[in-house]
Amino acid sequence: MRLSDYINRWGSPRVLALASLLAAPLLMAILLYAVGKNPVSVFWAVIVGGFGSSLGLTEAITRMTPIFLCALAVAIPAKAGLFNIGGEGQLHCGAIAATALVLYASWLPHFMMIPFMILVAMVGGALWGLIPGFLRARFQVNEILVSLMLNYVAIFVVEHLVHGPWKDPKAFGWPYGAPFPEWAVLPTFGKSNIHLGILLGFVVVGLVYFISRYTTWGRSLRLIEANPRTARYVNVNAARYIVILMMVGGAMAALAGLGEVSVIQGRLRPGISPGYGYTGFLTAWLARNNPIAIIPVAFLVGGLYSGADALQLTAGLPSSTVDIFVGLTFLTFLVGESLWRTQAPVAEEAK
Amino acid sequence: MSDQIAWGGLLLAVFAGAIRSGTPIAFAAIGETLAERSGVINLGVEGMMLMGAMVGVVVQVKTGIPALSLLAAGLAAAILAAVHAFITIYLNGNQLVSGIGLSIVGTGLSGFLGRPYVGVRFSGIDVWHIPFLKDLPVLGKVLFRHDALVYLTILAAAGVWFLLFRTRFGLQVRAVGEEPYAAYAQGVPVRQSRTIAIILGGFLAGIGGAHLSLAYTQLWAERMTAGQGLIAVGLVIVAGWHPVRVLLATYLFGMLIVLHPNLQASGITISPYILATLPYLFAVLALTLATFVYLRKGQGLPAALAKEFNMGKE
Repeated sequence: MRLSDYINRWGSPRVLALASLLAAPLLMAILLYAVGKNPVSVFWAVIVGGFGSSLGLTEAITRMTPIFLCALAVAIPAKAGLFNIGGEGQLHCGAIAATALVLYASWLPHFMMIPFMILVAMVGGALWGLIPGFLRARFQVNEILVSLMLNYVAIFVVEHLVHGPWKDPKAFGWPYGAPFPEWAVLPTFGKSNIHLGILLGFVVVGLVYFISRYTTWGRSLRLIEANPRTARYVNVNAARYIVILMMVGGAMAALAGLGEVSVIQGRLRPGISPGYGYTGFLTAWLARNNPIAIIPVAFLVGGLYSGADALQLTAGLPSSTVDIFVGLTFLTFLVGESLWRTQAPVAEEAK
Repeated sequence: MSDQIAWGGLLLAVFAGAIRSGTPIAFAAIGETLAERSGVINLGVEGMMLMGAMVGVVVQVKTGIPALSLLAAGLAAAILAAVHAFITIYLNGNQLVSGIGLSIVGTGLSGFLGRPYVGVRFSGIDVWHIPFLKDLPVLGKVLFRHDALVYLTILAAAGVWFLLFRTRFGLQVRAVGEEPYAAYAQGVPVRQSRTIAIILGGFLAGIGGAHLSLAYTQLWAERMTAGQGLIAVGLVIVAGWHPVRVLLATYLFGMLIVLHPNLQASGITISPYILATLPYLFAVLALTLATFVYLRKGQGLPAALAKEFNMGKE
């Protein structure tokens, strides 16, 4: 007996799909209840802490920024059917490139530092995206595996730099790079840590929307996504698009890395990203790789993490509580989506 | 002369340390090899190792029986792996999403449930000196003074190798990892083989995590695997999906980790972090060559890796 038969016996898969959306809060409530917490008050604390106060909201937007940018790093290559799981490495490359500029080009006029830093970081990330993109386009090498491998390389290079050549002698032996000088800190909004990076992300979302809707490029991309073979017949060079999109994706993740070293941490150091590249991957998937939909999804995820901080203070729960909730939410959405598809006709899938 | 002695001591320390510190990754990577051979990539290894590490400590504190703790650790991770199997195989959910999601859940759940055990002292799995062999010059120090789990990795690698290449089940696993539709047509139970491979792989990841907490540090700390689970996934690719090569790759990698403090102590400035990038760069190169020259079989890349198996409505 096949799974779909069981599903049909219990009810329509679409009903089950919708019901699965409630599964994450429900499972979470059971867990909280089991450890003697009142689920309602905990949920309330997260919502108020993450979205309910101006402080929480500020923190939510701050937390959202790297996730948002890393999700774009996935969604843009996805336009050509690629899986970029290398956001983590591209983020680190952006951080390295920006730090290098600050260290070796401190002679730049101060007002030119920030534009150059953005440019250099983006180039760094783009080069890291170029490798899997080129190998995919030219030799058909699996871009999932290559971009995953390159994550480790970039992270180890950061470790090397902060333990060795770029180690700040004033950091009391810690593996930290030198702090970014004032003129190399991205502009922020007021006293908050919300920085220019998120605005750049919004601009890119607008550009992507415009390009994919109103230009020949966009039309070619839709063709490649729908049917690569037809694309070849009408002289659309899929390889070129694959390389370009991976580079643009890498540049997006690099902006996240730039924001971390320039604003959030203020220096290059190990652990600048607690897995933003991977969270971004999930976020992009949940938004169905739609750049506009990524904005609210990333905001919600950022808010959950910001609410988690409040949770620690008010409910005495560890911050790992939110990891469980975020992870469960993604998983139950995945289950829901998969159930929804089990009965979607094949033709609808290929659309 | 004294220089030579210092070098010899350094090398011995590095070898012994590499074997010990590489063991958690080795278990996870051997398990992941089995899973990926069946065509399913499991990025949730990190969460599974953490669950194993945490559950192992809890059971060890409560019962004090290492065998029971290890079993519980393996089972806890296997449960997460079963969820991965269910989502990816029976619901055809995206393998990358499911793996990353499970990784986050495992990290959170282990931190949440393990919080009362942070810093709790317990008697873990101690080093086991093999009689007679431990007294061998040089080799005794490197090879025969470890905890029992270190020796078990060799058994695990050999066991998975035997399973994959010498049993009917292994043939089925490799078949569904290469050509699931052809295998299906031949009557191979695609979903069942994959499910077993993933769950066994998860079990091994849990044992790896438990080695970390019960033997290596003898302590539970939140997020104590610190990325080792993901490294394990990477090393599987580095080793070309081969359970014995993956063990060697892990020891090599463990050596690089251990090398760092030792090298610094002896005043040598070659960066272990740069060395650590080499296996991954090599893997990219090997993958490219393998795909380009189309020697995929020789490299062991399962052709159906991370692809959906969906017979549609049959």
